[in-house]
Amino acid sequence: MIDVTNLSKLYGDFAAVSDLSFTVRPGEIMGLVGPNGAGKTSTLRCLAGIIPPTNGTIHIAGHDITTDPLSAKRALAFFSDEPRLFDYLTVRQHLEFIARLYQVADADERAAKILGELEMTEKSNLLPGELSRGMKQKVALACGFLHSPKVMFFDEPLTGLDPFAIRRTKDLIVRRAQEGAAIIISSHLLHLLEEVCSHVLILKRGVKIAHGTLAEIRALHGDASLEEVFMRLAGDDAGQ
Amino acid sequence: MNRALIYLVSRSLVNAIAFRLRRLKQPKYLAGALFGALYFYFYLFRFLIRGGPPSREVPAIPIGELGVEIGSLVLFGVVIIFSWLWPGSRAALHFTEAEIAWLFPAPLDRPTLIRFKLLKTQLSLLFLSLVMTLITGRASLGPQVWMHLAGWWIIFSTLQMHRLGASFALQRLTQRGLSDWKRRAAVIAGVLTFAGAIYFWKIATPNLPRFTDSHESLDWLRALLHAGPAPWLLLPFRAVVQPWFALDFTTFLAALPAALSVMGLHYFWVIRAHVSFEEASVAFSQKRAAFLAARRSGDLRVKQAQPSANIPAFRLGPTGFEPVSFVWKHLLSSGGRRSLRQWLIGGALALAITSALSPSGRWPIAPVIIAIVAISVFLMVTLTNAAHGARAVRRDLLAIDLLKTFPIPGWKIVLGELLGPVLGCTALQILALIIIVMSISSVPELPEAKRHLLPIAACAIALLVPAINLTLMIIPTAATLLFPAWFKSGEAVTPGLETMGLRLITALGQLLALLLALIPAAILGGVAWMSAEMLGASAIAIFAGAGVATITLSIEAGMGVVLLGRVFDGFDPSEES
Repeated sequence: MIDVTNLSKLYGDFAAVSDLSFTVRPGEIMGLVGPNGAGKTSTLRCLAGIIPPTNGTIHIAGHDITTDPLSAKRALAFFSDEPRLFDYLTVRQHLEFIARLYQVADADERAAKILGELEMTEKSNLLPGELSRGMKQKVALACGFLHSPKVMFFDEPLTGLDPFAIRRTKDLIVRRAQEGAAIIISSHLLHLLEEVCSHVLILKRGVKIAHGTLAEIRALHGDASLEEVFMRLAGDDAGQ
Repeated sequence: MNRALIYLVSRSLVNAIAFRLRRLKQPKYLAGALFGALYFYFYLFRFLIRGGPPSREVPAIPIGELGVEIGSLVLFGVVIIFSWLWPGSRAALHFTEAEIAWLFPAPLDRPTLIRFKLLKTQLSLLFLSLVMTLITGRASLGPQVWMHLAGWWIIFSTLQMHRLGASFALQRLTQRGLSDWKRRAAVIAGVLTFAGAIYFWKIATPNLPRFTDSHESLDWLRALLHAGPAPWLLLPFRAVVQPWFALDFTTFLAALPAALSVMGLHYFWVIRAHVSFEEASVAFSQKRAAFLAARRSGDLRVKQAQPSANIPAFRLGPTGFEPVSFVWKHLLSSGGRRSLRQWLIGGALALAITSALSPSGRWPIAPVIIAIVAISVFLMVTLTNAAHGARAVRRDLLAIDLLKTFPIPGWKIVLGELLGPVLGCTALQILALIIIVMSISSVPELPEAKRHLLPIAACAIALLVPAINLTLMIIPTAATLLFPAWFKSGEAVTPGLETMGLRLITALGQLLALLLALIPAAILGGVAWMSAEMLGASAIAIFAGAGVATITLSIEAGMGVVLLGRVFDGFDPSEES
């Protein structure tokens, strides 16, 4: 579902991502971890088609994001760390707007279902300015889920959320994976990733230093927790 | 004043200058600074240094005393309106969030804080005085421009202190239970009493010059302002404006003591006010910070209030041509159905007023005035539309991560972003055109042949305006996408010579690009017009010219949208961040 081969991203002479290859299959949730500046956000932005890769190929649901970006984008949803909403569009109007962009024919039924699922039905006529951060995050999730994407990218999805919202977001992510979506989550909250991810990829200075199922990675390091594994592998870069 | 505060002001100033100098290492700021410096030199400083050019030297208007009287009356009006009737915000003392965080808890008394703010605003007041000197008498004053500058500074400083003192007084009155409307009523009553006193004095003075032609009306005004209660009330205002009107150094020096005395009295009034301004200042600072954050995020609307939810102007279907969704979003953010209804009512009212006033023989000047207003509106909308559209694109570019994930080609995003503003301003222009035709047609002096051609010419222009609007909007949008570093939204804009120079370069570049875009349309349209004209049909010739020009411009605009779409598709936001 997500197939990345020899991905590199250079900013001038600086290599943010170097020769990265991995695959995420339907139903899998891959945690993308690494110290600050490891190349996580650059990787996610390349995968979502926001920035072009310098080298390598990215296939999203079988479509090359570079040569056939529109087909690839129809199959994906990108959730940024900060929910970016339009000031003058209500929750429902956001969904109507997104429906038109993604040509979702049965948008009304889907929107009603998603809003109910996110407990946002009663808030559907409110503007972003009238919503808390957690609710804005829910609106972003609702917009992203509306076209039933097969591939999802989450960049720090749990930042700034209260415990209830964290639990709900985690549940939603897991449910989408169970329904067959391939998901990548970039986060610094390692214990939370441990709860939801089936796979982990650790980046350090743009290079893959560990990749596999969570169980494999932990087994390689004496059944240590993900946090301990991360400290051992990326320790000298932590905090940069 | 406290030495720490002097250090803060002086160090900030030095660092700000150093920052600007360091910024000149970037070519765009260096070019901007050079251009800005040249502009300032040729437009202002050479007159400050060498005096006004002999060829353009205009003698100062010999209004003398009357000028002072009128000036004092204007100042009186400004003070009443902006300090006592509508002072704007409750806090006239504006602190930044950092100043509030560090200075309010510090062991500093209120007078020290007030002195600090007064000192800090001096630079901006000096700059404002310089700009006003430039606007009001650059070429005519020559070496006397320095006195003019000092005159402006005295006016602005006094006004600023008066506003501050008034805000403290109003705050004290509010704390004692005086509501806003009661205060306004009291101020209006005071002004009406003053006007009434003058009126009764006028009735009691049979020899007052009559208000007939312009010369006698000046005499009338002079007499009115020189007797009765007027001179006493206007005395302090006259003292403040007198240095500005001084025509020579001796008069200027003679006027200074009175002006500085009024300033000094204001200073003591402000410093000795025992009012707790902190709460209002904190509230203002938070509002201001939110406003600046909105501006940095590309939202240049002045409105600081929370937006309200709007009903869409039309129902957006879930499938269909995607750019329509951007138009729908644009209309929604502009007020949706409510705004559309208001515009329709406004348009109908404008048409009703025009049709009622235009054919009237009682006010033959009315249609001319209406036509001038409508032409001005038409031109203003045409000229501001491009900047409006570019701003919308820049604002949405902040959410480029989101836009880039949409599964539609770049040209559709660009087209959608531009169509909303284009439609809005085209509707306004067409309304203005209808009003122009209605009003000019009723001017009796208009030859009959031209009267018949007027609606045809208006239709031809109406045909052209959407294409012109789109082309006009493409140019700044292209600049935004092609040179994002020069037009970066979200960048904290620090005003200065280089920023002004940059804006001038941008404006000139856009003008040049627009002229280039218009040349093919003008040539082809002109050829079509002349060819049809030779066949003897003027009305058809106008339409043929406009039609060909519209097609040419539309093709250019279409190519522009496609090209911009490609630029958008290839746009790498990481290279600009």
